[in-house]
Amino acid sequence: MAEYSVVGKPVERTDGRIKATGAAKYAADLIAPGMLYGKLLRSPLAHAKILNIDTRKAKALKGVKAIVTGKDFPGIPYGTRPDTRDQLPMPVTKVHHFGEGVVAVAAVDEDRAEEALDLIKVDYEELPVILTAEDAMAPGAPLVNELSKSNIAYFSDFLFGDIEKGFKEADYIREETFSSQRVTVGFIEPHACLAEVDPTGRVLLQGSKQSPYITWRHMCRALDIPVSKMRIVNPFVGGGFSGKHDPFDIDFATVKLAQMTGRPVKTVLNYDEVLAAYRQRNAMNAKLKMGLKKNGQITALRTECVLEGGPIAGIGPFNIYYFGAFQNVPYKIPAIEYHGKLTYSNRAPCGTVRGQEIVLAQYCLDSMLSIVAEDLGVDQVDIRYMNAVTSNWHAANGLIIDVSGLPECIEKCGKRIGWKESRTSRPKGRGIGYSCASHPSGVRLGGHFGSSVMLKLLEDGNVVVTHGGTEIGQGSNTIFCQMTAEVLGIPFESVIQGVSDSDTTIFDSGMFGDRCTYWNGNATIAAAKDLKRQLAEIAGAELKVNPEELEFKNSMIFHKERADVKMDFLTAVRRAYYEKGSPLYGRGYWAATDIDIVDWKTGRGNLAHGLDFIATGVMVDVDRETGRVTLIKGISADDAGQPIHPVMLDGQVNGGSAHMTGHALLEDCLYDEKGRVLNHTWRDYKQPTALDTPEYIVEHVHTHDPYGPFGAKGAGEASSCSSLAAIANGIYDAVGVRIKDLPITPEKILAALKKKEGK
Amino acid sequence: MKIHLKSNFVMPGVEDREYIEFAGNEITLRQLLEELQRLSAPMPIEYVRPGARALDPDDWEAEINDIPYQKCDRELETLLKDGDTVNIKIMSLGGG
Repeated sequence: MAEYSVVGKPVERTDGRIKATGAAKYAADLIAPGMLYGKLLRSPLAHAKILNIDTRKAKALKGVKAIVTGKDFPGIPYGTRPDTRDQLPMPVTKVHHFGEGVVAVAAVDEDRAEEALDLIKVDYEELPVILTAEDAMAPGAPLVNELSKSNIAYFSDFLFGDIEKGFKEADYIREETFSSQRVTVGFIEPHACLAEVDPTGRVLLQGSKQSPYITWRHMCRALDIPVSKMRIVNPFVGGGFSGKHDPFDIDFATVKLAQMTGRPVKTVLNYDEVLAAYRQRNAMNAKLKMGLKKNGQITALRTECVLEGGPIAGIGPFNIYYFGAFQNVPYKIPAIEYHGKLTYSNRAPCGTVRGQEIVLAQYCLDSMLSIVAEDLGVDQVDIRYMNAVTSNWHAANGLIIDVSGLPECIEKCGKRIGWKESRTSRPKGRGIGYSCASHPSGVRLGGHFGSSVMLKLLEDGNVVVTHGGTEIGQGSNTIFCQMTAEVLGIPFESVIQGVSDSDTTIFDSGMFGDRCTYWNGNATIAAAKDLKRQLAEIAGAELKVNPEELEFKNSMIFHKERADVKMDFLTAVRRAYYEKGSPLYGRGYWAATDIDIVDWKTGRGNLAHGLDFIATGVMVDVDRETGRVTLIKGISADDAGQPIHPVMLDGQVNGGSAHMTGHALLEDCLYDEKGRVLNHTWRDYKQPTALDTPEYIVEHVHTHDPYGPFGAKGAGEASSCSSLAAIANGIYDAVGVRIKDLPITPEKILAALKKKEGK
Repeated sequence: MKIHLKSNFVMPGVEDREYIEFAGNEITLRQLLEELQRLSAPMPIEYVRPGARALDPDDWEAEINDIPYQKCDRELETLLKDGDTVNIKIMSLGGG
């Protein structure tokens, strides 16, 4: 294994102190001279025609400066794909879900804006409500989205391998159904933004955004302005987890209010609004049919998946795609048939949540694997080891797994959680659940999908990094500073993180899908090498040696073989600035151009590099009297390639596990029969706290990914993909009841226990 | 004339068709895309913005017989021949 000076070391986070001391400025903290305050009036109905909006009284209120409705926008739909553009900035003819922003007000203070909302009268005509996928697909069901001809927003049918042969070769076949609920995304910071318009009409938007490029392009389209007429700057972001990619009504309304008034406008949501009306994970119904040999080897898998996604397609097509295409990992399945559908509904719009819908696919797959392992009398660890993908594996859809540490992960996890020992002795009501998962380090979507990094070397020898990725709390700024320091042979403290600003940064396509470390990391290395090359030329000329024979270490530039031929790093920098007047910029870019662009029609191709792997074991106690589940211990053995920052890597792995604890056991966005959200406060919506999470232990399996930066892979999402099934399987192991519809509440466990005991 | 269709997505209106046929023996790439837009109704997919000289590269890529349309002599106005293959790829902006 290579020896590094900065990479692989637990350096202090670049943003650690300012965040911990409260000094970091988030969007809600921003203030601009003459700033107005924005507020949104929300729909009390889930589905209704907008007959009339009377804003006269509100407009007459002193201090109210502007009011915006959907009619104030150009009427250009936007959306993730050009064939699913089904969103408008704000509703025009009808509302689609409870809490949808219908009117926005800008006033001199928040109280005045609130008061104005009370004076606005909206006349609605209620429409029938679609709440479930079944409702949506029923014959004669009312259409949810007026820009679509159907309540099926998207579908995919994939076939990999010879499915008939696969089932014919099976000694055992079993079918099961699984379902999962709506959950919220779970970031800490609610949506907020500040919009300003300069005298030329150019917009500056500073918002809490996960992927500012996505926001930027979609907004410019829907506002019918070129991207050069909008500048977007990201302040600190308090978490994203896939819930902050898109522009929302708050962003559009705030920009429009700023355009109308010529004054800065800031809008900050409260969390009740976020829980009621913004992104959630799809509700899922899935049916699996699995074929296996007697020894537990999988021969075929057939999956039907229906996701209910609210009134927009959004990134739902990706969710459908991921669910189907990535059933090809983490297990060797020679034949897969997949049918996926995304339906509209009158519930809150869905995006996704950490791990995307691989989370749901893996919940189904690994729950199924535990069921059939028991049926066949095969050990839970052994069946996973036997089917685990290995290095250089070519999956049925063409995905090539370059490096897999999964078999070792499975072994390590099994040993650390004491699986074998638990089979002979364990306390009553205790169980161990097992699951594996894999997640790609970014797929290739086509269009703008490269990553770029710019380094500016200052005259004092410090380097400023700007990159198109987004620091949303995961630590990407820190690791790019580490990589820069490593390549240039300077201290980590000499690398400074610059601002994410569309005027100075070439934006990345987005911070999602475990791609940031991998793609931007490679771009960072390329930029640092570019800078190094320029410095080597300066030093080489002065030292009269070939620049290619120079090495950089400990802030020195020296000859590889003649230690006395050397120059101080800072001297080389000053030669550039003081004697040549030459600025020193390093430019780097990277894209995996040797993998296939996503084929939405077939799901086939070599879809990604850097598949990261995880094996998760969860020890649980289940109280048979109350049904309460207590998580005792969680072991994650992960293969994320070369850890860049081992402590943050642990945090990512454990964070994913903790995050999904809520999905498995607690969380559920509840709606009444009219589509009104019932639990949109933190009092009523149950997310896990530290008291609900177990002792977590991470075992790293070090591999070296041939394409990854320093051999690293993505890391933030695999543990979220393995956690649901591990918990469900653990509960079954503890008390012998399997709950197949999430969340697994005490009530469901008690009911299942009673049924099992014939009560 | 027969134009073979390839795509990396399910094209609304021609979901199960490997080709489409036209009367006459001349059609430009633009006209083909406009026809595909017409066929995709009632939720028409805009392949070419009215009056645009090129496809929006953030939305679509197109190839004629494996050659990017931008490299063909007349780009969107390139005349397609009987038996030509047009490959339309969707570009997406987003992720999760």
